[in-house]
Amino acid sequence: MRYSSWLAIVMVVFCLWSGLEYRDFHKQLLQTEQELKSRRQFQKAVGLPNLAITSAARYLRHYSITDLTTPFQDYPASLDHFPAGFAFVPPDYSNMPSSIVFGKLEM
Amino acid sequence: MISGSWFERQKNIIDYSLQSLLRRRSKNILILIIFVLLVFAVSSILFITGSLTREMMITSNDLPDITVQRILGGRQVNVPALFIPEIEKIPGVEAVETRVWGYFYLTSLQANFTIYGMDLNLLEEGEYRKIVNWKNIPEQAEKNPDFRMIVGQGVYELLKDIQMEKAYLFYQPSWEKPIPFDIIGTFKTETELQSNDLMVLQTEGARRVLELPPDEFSDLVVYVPNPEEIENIALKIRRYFPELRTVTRAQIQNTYSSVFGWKSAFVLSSLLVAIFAFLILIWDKASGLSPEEKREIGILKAIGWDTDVILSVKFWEGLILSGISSLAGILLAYAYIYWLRAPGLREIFIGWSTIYPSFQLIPDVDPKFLLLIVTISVVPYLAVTVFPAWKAAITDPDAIIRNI
Repeated sequence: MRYSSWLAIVMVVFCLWSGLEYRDFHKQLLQTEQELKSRRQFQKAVGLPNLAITSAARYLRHYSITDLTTPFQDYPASLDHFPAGFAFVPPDYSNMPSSIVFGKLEM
Repeated sequence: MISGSWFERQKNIIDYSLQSLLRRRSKNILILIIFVLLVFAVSSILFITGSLTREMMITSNDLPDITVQRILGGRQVNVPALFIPEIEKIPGVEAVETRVWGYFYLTSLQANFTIYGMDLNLLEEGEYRKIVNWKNIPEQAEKNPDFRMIVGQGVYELLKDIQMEKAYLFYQPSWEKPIPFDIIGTFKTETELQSNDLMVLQTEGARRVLELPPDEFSDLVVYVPNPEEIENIALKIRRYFPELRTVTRAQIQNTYSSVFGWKSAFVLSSLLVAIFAFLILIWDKASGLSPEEKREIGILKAIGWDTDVILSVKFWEGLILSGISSLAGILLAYAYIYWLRAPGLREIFIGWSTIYPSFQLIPDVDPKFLLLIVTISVVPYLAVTVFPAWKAAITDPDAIIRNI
C-alpha cells in the first residue's frame, strides 16, 4: 500500500475520533440543559456560593465569601498550606473600607 | 517534473514526504511525542479551568443580591438580629433574610461538612421537591421535625460506610449527649457539584449543632429588586454599620471568573521550561538543515525537481507532523478531562478533601482557543521547516552536493 493511503487511513481514524468527541460534547451539553433547572432551583434554595470540589478548608470551600484573615490564620502566607490552595486565588477584598497594610506600623 | 492531475501529483509528493519523515524516524518520533505532550498539557489545563468556571457561572445569577457579614477583630462573627430592621429600613431593600450555616468537622472521617439551616418544609413544596430524592420518612422523624436533614450524595456515601445512612448522631466532646438527626432524603446527583459536602438541617436543629445563640445568625442576605441599586445599597450598609462587610453578587461572579485564571496561568508558566525545550529542538531544526538533508535537496534539484515541488515536500512534512500532533494532543486532552475525569490533575483542585465529587464536568471547548492552539503550533513549525528548505533549494545544486 502507498504511504499516502496510510496517511488517509490515519486521517479517517482521527476524523472518527473527533466525531465521537463532538457527539459526546453535544450530548453533555443537552444533558446539562436538562440538569440546569434543578441546579438553579438548588442554588435558589441554598444560597451559598462556590462549588463543592474541595472541602479541605473553609476559605477554599466558600472562598467567595470568606473573611479577610481566614486564609492567613495559621501563619502569614499560609494560603497554600492545603494542596487545593494552589488552584484557588485569594478572594477580591477591594470592597473593604480601608486597605490592609502589612509590615511595620508608621507612628 | 511529476506528471498527472493536481491530485495525483500531491499524492506522489505526500508519498515522498512520508518516506522522508520515516527515513529520519527517531528524530521525528521524538518531535511528535513532545509536540503531542505540549498541546495535551496546555489544552487539559485550559479545558479543566474553563469547565470549572462555567460550572460556577451557570448558577451564579441565582445567588442572593448582597451577603452581609459581621467582621469583628478581623474575623467573621455572628450577626445579631438587631441589624435586620435597620437594613430593612434602607430604601430599595425588598427583604432581609437570615442564614444559619457553618461547618462540622468529623474527626473520625477527617471530613469537613457544610451545614446549612433552612426550613425543610420549603423543599417539600413545588419545584423544589424535584431536587431531592425523598426517602421513606421514619415515624420518629415526624415526631421530631426539628431534627431532620437532607444530605448531599458525597456525605450520604460517607455516612453509609459508618452505617449511619438512616440517622446521624452529631457529637462534640463538649456536649452532654449526641444529637440524632434523621436523614429524610439526599440531593439529586445533578446538583452534586454544589451539594456534595452539604447537610441541610432544619434551622432549629442547625442552631443546636452549630451552637448558635438565639437571636444571632451566621450572616444575612439582602434582596434588592433593582440591580442598579445593589452597589449603592451595599455601600450604605457599610457606611451605616462599619462592622458589616458586604459581598454583592457581582463581586462573587468576579471571583468566579478570576479564580482559576490566575493559577492556570501559573501552571502554564511553569510549563514554559517544556515550551523552551521544544523551541530549542525546533531551533535546531530551523537553524539549518543537516548536511544530509541539504545533499538530498541538491540531488533532487540536480535530477530535475523544481523548487516549488521541493517546497511542497517540505510543506507536507511539516503539516503532517504538526497537524497530527496538535490534533492528537487536543483529542487526548478532551478524553482525559471529560472521559477519564482528569486523574492527577483533579487532585490539585480537590486537595485534601475527604468528600470527592465525581468530577463529571460540563465540557467547555472554545473554538477560538482551538484555533489559537493550531495557529501557534502548526504555523511556526511550518515556517521553520519550509524556510531552510527554500534556502537550500535556491542554492546551486553543485555547491550543495559538494558541501561547499
